[in-house]
Amino acid sequence: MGPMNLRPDAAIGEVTRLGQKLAAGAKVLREVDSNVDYGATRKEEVYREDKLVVYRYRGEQAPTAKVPILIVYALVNRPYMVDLQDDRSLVKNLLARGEDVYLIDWGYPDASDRSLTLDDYVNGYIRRCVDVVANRHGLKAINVLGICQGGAFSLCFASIYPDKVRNMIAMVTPVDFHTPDNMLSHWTQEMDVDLMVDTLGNVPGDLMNYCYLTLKPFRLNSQKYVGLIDILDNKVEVENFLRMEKWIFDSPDQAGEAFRQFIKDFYQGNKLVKGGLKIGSKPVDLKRLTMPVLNIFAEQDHLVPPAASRPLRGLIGTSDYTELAFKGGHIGIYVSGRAQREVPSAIHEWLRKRGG
Amino acid sequence: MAESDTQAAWMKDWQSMQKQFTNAWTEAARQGGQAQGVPLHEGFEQWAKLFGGNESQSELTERVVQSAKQFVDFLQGAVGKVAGQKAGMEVPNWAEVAAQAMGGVNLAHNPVADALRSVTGEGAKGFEQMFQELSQQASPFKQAVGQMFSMPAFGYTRETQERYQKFAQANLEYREQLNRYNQQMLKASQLGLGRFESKLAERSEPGRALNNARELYDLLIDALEEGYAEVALSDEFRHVYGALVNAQMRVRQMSQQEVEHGTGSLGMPTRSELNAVHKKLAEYRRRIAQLEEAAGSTAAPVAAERAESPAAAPRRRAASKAAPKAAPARKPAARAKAPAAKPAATRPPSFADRLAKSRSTRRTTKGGR
Repeated sequence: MGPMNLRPDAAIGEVTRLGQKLAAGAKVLREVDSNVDYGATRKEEVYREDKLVVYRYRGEQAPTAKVPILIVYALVNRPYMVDLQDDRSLVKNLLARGEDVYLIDWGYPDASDRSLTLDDYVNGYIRRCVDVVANRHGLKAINVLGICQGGAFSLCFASIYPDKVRNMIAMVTPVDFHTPDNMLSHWTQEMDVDLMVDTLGNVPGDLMNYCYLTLKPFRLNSQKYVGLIDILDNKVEVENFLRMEKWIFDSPDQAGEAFRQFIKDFYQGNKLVKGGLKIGSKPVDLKRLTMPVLNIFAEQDHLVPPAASRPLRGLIGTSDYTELAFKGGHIGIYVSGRAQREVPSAIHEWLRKRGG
Repeated sequence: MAESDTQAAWMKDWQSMQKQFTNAWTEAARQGGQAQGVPLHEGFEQWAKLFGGNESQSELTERVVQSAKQFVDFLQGAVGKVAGQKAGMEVPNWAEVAAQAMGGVNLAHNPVADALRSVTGEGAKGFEQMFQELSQQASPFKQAVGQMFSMPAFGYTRETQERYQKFAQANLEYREQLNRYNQQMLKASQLGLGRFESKLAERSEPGRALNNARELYDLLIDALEEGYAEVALSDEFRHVYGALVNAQMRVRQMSQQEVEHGTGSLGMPTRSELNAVHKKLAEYRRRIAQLEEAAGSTAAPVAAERAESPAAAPRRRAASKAAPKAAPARKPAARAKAPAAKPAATRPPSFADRLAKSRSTRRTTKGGR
């Protein structure tokens, strides 16, 4: 018995199907615009500072939540992943449940932003954005939903300003950067990040993309496109693919100084776990997180492995800690069908129980 | 030719190739021999041309074509082995089939190295590609380096020659590190192909056989990813990767310094000068933010309309209505359309307004003492 039951007629059938898909795909690809639109939910600008904009999303009905949520997204990708399209939108689903959702859009840093530090981002931008949203609602504290790198920033923020955070939600957030399965972290350990930032200034988004894609080079650069052929005859699926593709390759450059500190203190120093982290002059101690904390991570996440998120439980000061392990990956947690059903409702229910 | 005609012509060509493919493998199966591969590649090339001037789809179609070619090579290799196989013949070496389909396994070309190269394109650029670009831009400089080495190291060129010698050393160092990195990629490919063999052996168990070339291809991808991950997570790779990145940054930094020498002597602004200006700007921005906060203006709501949530408190201050603002500043030559700003957007008071308010507050306080 061999490993293959492949008969020539079956192989011929595969080639035939390939041709049919390509023929149909030629028509579909002509019809769709590769610059597919994204963003499903109406939003309005409520605050602007330098290149960042805070948006407030508007649902079909007025929010019923007493405390708004501010989404703090990562700097390394664009935040429209949380509201990609009508049937794939964390934001839309939160609004539908009565939440009041705000989001920080960091924009695209340019050469004039290379001196921006983590102090500027956390003690400056995030703090002012939180204050703006809190003031709009006449509150002292709001709910913060930090995503990925934005989650790490949010944890720092909540540690420095615990009185400004009513409930803290960390989503696919790295905390322990030294877990054995963290390939990105492994690669950065012997990089001279001072030399890198002194040389490059801002770190190009294209380089960041390259690093992410080389985490799984065969799956993300070959198998994925062979898989695309299977759906080439389906316009909606092709548009979904293109929308995701646009997001993947639409990465802002990273402000040099902030990147330098992030790599040194988080990736190399692992200071969220080991201690000794300072943002500007302010020490970060996760024990100061005494507000309720919801930690959501994805079980198949290759960018932020679950082992990198789980240690949050043992590092924070709160007794009200909840963990949600999502069956999916780093991107699937926003866009998969399962995510639409499970994640927004989990966040909503968790907040409701805490008066948020 | 109309679009539909072009597509129909392509379909006709594809069917012709498909027929050749069928005949070749049917004959091979009948005679128990090895059939020659049919150039299905041409079909993909022609397919990509169907999009003609559609620039927006070119990147995507290129990636599809690359991947499809690899898959079809693999399929032809696989079916070739199976079609020609008779009872009692030696079991095909599948790792070899996969290696052939992926362009061979040597230091310059191996599945992992080629996969990493294929990552680059619109929106993704690796260290190797960045270095190639740098090399092109620095070619006049490199020429000068070559000339300098044939000159004696004294006199007015001494300093320059010393810099050039360091640059040459940095380049050599980079080449050495690149070679070490390529060795790692070769090792990852060999490991991956070894894993492929093991996975296939598991599939020889009753009821676990693969039924089509696509399943075989997916199994190969799994194996190659595993081999790559094992190397990429090793201590040795960590050393090599760090050394490669650092070596390239040194070359890049020296090249930039030489460009600064040149542009500075022509009276043009340099990167260092711009950096200094940007640094000052960032400091001013911080100071402005501090001043605004001291004046109590930043944390105020900046939207004209107040939030309507149930928690909205009556003590909110009224805010002035203002004109809509645009979406956040976008990357130059952004690849995507900017999301349209909603007309309901509002803008914060201008910096001048807030600074004036800040001054006014301070004067009042002072006057009250």
